[in-house]
Amino acid sequence: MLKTARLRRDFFPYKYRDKGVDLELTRVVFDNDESWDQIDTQRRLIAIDGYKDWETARVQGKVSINDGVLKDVLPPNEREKPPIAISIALRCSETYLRQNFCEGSFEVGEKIDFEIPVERSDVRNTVDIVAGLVRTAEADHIVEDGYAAFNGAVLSDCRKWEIRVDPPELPAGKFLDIRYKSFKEKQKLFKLESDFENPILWLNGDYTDIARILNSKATRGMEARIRDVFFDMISHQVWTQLLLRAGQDITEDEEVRYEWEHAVLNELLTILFPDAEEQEAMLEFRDFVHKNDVPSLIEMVDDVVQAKLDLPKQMTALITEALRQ
Amino acid sequence: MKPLKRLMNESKVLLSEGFLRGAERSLSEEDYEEYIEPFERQIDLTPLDDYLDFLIDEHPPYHSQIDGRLAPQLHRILNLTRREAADMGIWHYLTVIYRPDFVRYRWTYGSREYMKKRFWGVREWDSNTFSRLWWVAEQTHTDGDYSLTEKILTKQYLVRSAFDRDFSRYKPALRAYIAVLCGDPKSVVEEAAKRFNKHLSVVQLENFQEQQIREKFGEIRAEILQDYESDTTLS
Repeated sequence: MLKTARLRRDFFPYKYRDKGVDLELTRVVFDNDESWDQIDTQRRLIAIDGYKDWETARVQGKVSINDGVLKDVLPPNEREKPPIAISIALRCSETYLRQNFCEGSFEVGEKIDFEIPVERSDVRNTVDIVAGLVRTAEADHIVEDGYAAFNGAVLSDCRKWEIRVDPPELPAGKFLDIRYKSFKEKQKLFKLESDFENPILWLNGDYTDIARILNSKATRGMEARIRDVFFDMISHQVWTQLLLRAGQDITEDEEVRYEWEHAVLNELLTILFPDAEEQEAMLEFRDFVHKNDVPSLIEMVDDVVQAKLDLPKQMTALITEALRQ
Repeated sequence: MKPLKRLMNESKVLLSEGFLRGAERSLSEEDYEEYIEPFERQIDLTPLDDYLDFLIDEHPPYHSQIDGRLAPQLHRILNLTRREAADMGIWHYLTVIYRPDFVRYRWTYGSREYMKKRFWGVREWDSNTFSRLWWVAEQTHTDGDYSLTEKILTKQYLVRSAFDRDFSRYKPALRAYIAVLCGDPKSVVEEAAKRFNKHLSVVQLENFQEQQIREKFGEIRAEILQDYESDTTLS
């Protein structure tokens, strides 16, 4: 697990403006000049995972500094000719990629157009795009009142954007499309639509804090632990539904309707019938689904899913982290 | 021609205790073909096979110096893009199906979990035997010059202190780290990596050139040595 700098989240040792940079992505243009402008502004997500035929994608957007930011982060004598730049960073954790693009000259309130090339050969799954306001020079005088004085100091940040390059992976190795939307049933957090080639897990986008945690890329700390517990709790329901549907779809010839059902059965039937061959396990499970009542069926499936997910481990890690803090 | 392939996620069930310990020495490719997929382009593994045999002849088992010799060759022979290398299926194929004997030669069986990571490993950089070395080489080579790769792999603490931290993802930072710290003892290296990481909480790393980062590591190192002189707890 990576050790990331925690201080940023806790406090800055100088005047800092939280989310003072406004980063907006407007579209993605591919090599063949086709463009993609379906943008989920609520989740700050551009999902181009359905578009395969590209080598370079140019991500276009606008960046600006919110009113009053300079007043918050620079001493009065520096505000006329501010020693600052907006730095836009592209990061892909799966491919160890970190690249930087700098916008040095701009006016406060001005929306600067930018374009960042993303090479398909350099990225996988998701790419994060963030922007920060940074100092570009040491202060040439004694800085009072807690303003940052050193070159490179980050003075403000933005809300992160995500470009989804590949479909998110199901634990079974097949693909589960995770999408967000507002639900009519306000209290409902998620809904699974599994009667498709690729099942869709809909999450209620109105719960923005929950969505943020579920999308967190943190590898340590409280946010990571909460995310793991949330995911396992949702996964429990998802696996249960997927397994029951797959079980219902098994035919006498050990066939299923969808490819993902094979993957789910492969993953879970080895836990349920560890000594049986694949076909034998499928037929046994089919029999069980058709011959037993609902409570027995739920109990059996629940045992398998709990064995797979190890929820106590994630919960214990969360408790340990909470006590540590 | 021995083509590179990928092993599907579902094959994780193959990692039995007997396999991890080496009692069940190898898994036949024919028996497990349902789990194996072709890789999207042709990469011949014959030179890698030969080189792994050579390393086994040259080094005693569990010898960490194998890493420094293997990483550059592995990177050259596989010649993957970052996108391709982030596909764990190819690394799982190499460890589980192709050369499980080499994994057991490099790592002594500590526990089931420990050995499983050496064969499998998904998210943590320091897990799968081959992928960890490929990524170290990828992040440290410059146009085919692997001298920094070899340097960082001379000591496990040197590579671990960097790759456990986010700055290893920015090549100029990693190059600066190796240049400044590669000759230092464990206590200095670990403390320098820790202090540099803390410094990153207030700067955006990508704004800095290698020379600037090198200067920063130099400053941090000097501070640590000064602390070291006045505080023996760092020793």
